[in-house]
Amino acid sequence: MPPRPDSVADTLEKLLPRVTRPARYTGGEWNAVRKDHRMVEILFALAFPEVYEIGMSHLGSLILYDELNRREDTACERVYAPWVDMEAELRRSGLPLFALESRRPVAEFDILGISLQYEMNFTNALNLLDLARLPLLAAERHAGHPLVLAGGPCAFNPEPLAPFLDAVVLGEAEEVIHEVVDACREDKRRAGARSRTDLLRQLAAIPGVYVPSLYRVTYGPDGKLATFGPTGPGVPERISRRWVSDLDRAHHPQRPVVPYLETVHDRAMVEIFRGCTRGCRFCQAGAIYRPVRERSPARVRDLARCLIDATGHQELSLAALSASDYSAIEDTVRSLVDQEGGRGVGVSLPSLRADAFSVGLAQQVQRVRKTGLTFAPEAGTRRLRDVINKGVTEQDLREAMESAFRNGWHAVKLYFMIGLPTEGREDLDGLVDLIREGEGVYREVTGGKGRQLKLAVSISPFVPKTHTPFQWEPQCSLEELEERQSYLRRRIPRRVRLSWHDAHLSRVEAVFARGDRRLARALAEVWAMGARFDSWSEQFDYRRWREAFARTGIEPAHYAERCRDRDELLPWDHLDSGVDKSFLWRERERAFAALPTPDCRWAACTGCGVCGTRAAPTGESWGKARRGEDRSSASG
Amino acid sequence: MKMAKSGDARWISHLDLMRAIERALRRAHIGVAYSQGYNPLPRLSFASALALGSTSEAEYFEVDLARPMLSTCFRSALEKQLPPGLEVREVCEVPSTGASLAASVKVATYRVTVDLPAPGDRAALHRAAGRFMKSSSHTLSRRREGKTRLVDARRLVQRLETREERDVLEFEMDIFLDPQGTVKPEEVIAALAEMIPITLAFGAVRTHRIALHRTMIEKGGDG
Repeated sequence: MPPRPDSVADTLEKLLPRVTRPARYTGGEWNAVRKDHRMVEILFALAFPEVYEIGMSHLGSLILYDELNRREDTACERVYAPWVDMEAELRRSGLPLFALESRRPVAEFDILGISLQYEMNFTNALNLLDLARLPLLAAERHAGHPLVLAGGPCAFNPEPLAPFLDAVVLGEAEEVIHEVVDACREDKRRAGARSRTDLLRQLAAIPGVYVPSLYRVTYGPDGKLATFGPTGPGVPERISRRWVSDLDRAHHPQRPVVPYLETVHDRAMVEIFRGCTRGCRFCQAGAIYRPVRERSPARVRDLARCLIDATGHQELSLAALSASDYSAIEDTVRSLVDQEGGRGVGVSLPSLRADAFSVGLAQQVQRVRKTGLTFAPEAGTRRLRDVINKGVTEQDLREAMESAFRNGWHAVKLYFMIGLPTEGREDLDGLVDLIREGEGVYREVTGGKGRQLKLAVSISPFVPKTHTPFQWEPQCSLEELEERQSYLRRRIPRRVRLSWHDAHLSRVEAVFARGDRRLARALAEVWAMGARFDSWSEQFDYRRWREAFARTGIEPAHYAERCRDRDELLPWDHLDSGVDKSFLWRERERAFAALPTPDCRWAACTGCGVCGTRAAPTGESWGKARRGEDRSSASG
Repeated sequence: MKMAKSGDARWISHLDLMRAIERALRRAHIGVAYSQGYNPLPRLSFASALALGSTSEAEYFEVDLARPMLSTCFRSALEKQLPPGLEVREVCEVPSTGASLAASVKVATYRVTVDLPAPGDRAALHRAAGRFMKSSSHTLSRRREGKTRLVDARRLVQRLETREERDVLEFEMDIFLDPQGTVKPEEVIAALAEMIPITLAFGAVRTHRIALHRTMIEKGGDG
């Protein structure tokens, strides 16, 4: 018999003094939704395979928590990955993984939904299943177990997790999740007579739901995918991504849970728009969240007021992939600062482009509280930025920094990638030059007086992702990445605060990002060897991964370093993001010709295919005309 | 304001509690005064930090208001916005010119409940408490960041009484909050256990703060 919630609570009492940050496991935060389980039909455990402080910062999970708890028939409760100390305590005391709101064991829920944001969380996802005392393999679970559902960006290639998942939701889940819950509820009402397979077949018929076990895969002698297809009738060949067409009509959480612990994004978030058509060729988010859909400024202001009233947060963040691209961004920021500044609330923009316009915006938001500035030029030369279609010029950057320094900023952070396709020595030299240029601009502006410039530079290896124009490209070998890192390390001035993303970690990430089902065994192996929290460099142990690959006969270079042919069957080809594969290939060719492709918001349609599947999105008519005149120079 | 902290709220750390109060004040639309400068913070000060895991019925804080407000209105507005486990006990208006709350609090009274490893340990702990209070000093060494510091726990414990309950032993103690450094109630209990010696299980010691006092103890102390 599984333990009852009150006995969970008793055991928990004894565990909490022994772990770091016990508030990760207590629940009971302001706005947390606690329902009487006798009054609902479906118990939904919404899991995030990372530590509480990261999981609680994820807007998508807040949206789903809100969507699901608005249903009278459903109680949705949160689950996060217990940190390693808590895992040890749970295993020692025999306590199973429980949901925060009721402390009821996860195994007693009807659905366990796991958000997959990052490949390096896959080991944590397996660990959640195990801590919940569920069989890892979907084939070994039956109707009495929770349905294990996954979603998030990694749903666009969930193949390495295929044997562990019952179903995968492709794209924005706020509508399709209701269809899934309805199907589960009907299934539960019929009870007894039906099997898990019946439910899975029914789920596979819902647009946007992928049931991995209903597809058969074969591989050729060359190790490449040979065939991929449904095992029977009624199972779609391809699964199309779901997306909401009108953001103003979509629900936005108005009473999000307010954590006690300081989380990564410890603020109220208003999603101002979804999608980005800048078309950076390395960026998966830029492909899988198309098209751009904006929330109206009036709605944004209303939500801002509601959110601060309901949470008491001191900071309001305007969430988007590239916040300064919002049509009415200037007016919106100004009116929000006026509206909220009086009660000590600051406004923040998490994602700014490296141009003077954005710095002007940042200046606006600084009226209440001053934060640092971060720019992401990504590459060191104009040529390479044209290759990746990151339309930021040296002049943009120079003006951005000049404007920032003139307005009193003395701390700036720059993000770069290394190992991008076609990258050469001159691009690395260009990166060093940009850093020196930043320092030079600071000296010019301040005349060498006043505070010292605090320049932080973060450099990450490029990881090719699915559904992008670089999905066919090899990742640089480990040796080459390390060589380029040391080349830069020798040339970047020592006074710059440098941080490096671990090349070994990026290598494993690249293997799983474009992996197939054969990787599942390696994943189970590395998890059994103790791999947890692999996104944390202090927890990540490359030797363990190398050993797991060797034991399961996986050649990592086959996944990370191989250049795919144009007509190769890719393990994610059946998952349709809406962006045509032919468009991605065209973009790849333009990349190698260093030809930029302008944003379709200000230039001609690029023919990516997303809008073709449905009527053009609404809700942006009040912005488009104006921005066509003033901002066209910012694109390209 | 005087507030109680109970249940799961005892797992909220001191810094997190300050933030939770700040948010509750904002939700309650109470106009709080902010500090000037780079990162304006609400003028909110606590009398004494409570250790993570302890409960209390005597958490005091002061807040500067931007607009004057009746204490009854303050109380009813804030009460509705406090998370579970935090409860208003008293609200009063104080002149804003006084010394800081933290500096004016001298002594804290705690009730500490100890789960006993074996029934026989009850008498032993009781005797250890007696020996402790009769001694002239009792030095504890504390390691933090590689450095060892010595603290005279006896000097800081002004009163230590024991009360026997069914399978637990209950202590009540007054601890001097010396600005130079004080001692935690759990450290006192650990010192007693070490005198016997017995090992207490993790989570066997539960601390509850009963009162804070502005002056050195006169029996019955004020609030």
